[in-house]
Amino acid sequence: MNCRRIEELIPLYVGGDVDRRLSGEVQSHLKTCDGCAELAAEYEASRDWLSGAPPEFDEDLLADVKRGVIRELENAKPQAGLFELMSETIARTLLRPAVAAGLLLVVFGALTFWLYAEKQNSKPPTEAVVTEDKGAVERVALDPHGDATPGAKEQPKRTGVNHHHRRQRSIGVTAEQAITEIAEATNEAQSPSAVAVDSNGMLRIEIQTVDPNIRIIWFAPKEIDDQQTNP
Amino acid sequence: MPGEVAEIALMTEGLRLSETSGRAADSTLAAIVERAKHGDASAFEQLIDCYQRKVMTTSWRMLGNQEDAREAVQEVFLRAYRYLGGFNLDQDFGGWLYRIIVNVCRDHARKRGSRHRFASFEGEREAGTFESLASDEDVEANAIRSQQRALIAEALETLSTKERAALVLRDLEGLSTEEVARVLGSSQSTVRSQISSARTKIKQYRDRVMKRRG
Repeated sequence: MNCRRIEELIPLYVGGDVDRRLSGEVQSHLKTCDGCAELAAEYEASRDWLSGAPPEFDEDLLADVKRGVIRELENAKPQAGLFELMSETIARTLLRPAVAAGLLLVVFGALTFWLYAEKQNSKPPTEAVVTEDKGAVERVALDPHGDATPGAKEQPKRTGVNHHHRRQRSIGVTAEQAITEIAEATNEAQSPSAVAVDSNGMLRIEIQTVDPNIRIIWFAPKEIDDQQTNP
Repeated sequence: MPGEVAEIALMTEGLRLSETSGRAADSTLAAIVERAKHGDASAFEQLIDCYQRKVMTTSWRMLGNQEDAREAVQEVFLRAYRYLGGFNLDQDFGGWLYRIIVNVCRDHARKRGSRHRFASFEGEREAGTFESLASDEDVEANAIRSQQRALIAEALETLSTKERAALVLRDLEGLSTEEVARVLGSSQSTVRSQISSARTKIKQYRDRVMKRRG
């Protein structure tokens, strides 16, 4: 290793900042090179000089500094307190009533939903059918001989068949045709168990299938039906 | 407890506990840090007692005069108080505090700009930096030391901010290169380069002073 390279390493060597291998090489060189050894000595003296006079502070000064720090911390606290106070005020004046109102709304909503659900469960299915037709239905229950008995109570249920047949009405299929078709399609339909005429002049035919849960309801214009039955 | 704090303060020379003396105070210091972290004001005061002399010394070396160092110390402890909640108790508290010191001094030096930086003997004496003078011998010895301190401050002023921080931590605070790199957030090779350059500049400054003296 030449002097130029050693001179580069000396500033680190004097502080023990080179690895063991390099340190050994520098050390060997310094033993044989007076110029480099002198330079290393100057660096070491410079390091000693730098750390030779550490600053000293008397206790009064340090106590004063400490008082200053504590005073600053005390001054910083009211700012935090002010923020906390504002947060607390906001929480007290706005947040808490808002939470209370929200809870009340939730309770009220749950109660309303429960009442609505109860009402829906107790409502007869006929209402749903009538509502869907948007008209009052004049109910006629059929006796076994086919005579109408106004005011008789029946509880037709809505089924998918119902909607299907209502769509058929729009293409001009008569009630009897529909009944026949349904009976053929399901093999379950009986003869019409109820016929009603609503205020819009629509004929409503209900058929109770073998399955007590399935009731077929058919709507047809009364005029067409009349034409079919009385040519 | 004050005696305990004094004992810890003595052992935290260089902001680190030495291998031999540190173990006894380690758990006590950790307990104080933990209490301070959880908002115990008296524990934080104990931390000030433990570390303020060292923080003051390091700040003085970083900034070169007592007035700036004093302001920096206040800011260091304020920041420490503010961020102590996020301090991980497994970390080295001294290293954490050194990072705050370096950052505060860097900010302070930037704010200060080009106005008078390094200490003069008279200025420091007026500011009451140094111990009270007792006898004529003390007066002379203190005058020599004060003059040397002023020269050291001036020598450190020839360094860049990064060189200065690296040299102060390595040569005056006694941290290892690895620790310096961790505190400064640099690589070890960068720190070595800064230290090498800084030592050369300090030597050149001292050479000039010696030449002037003849």
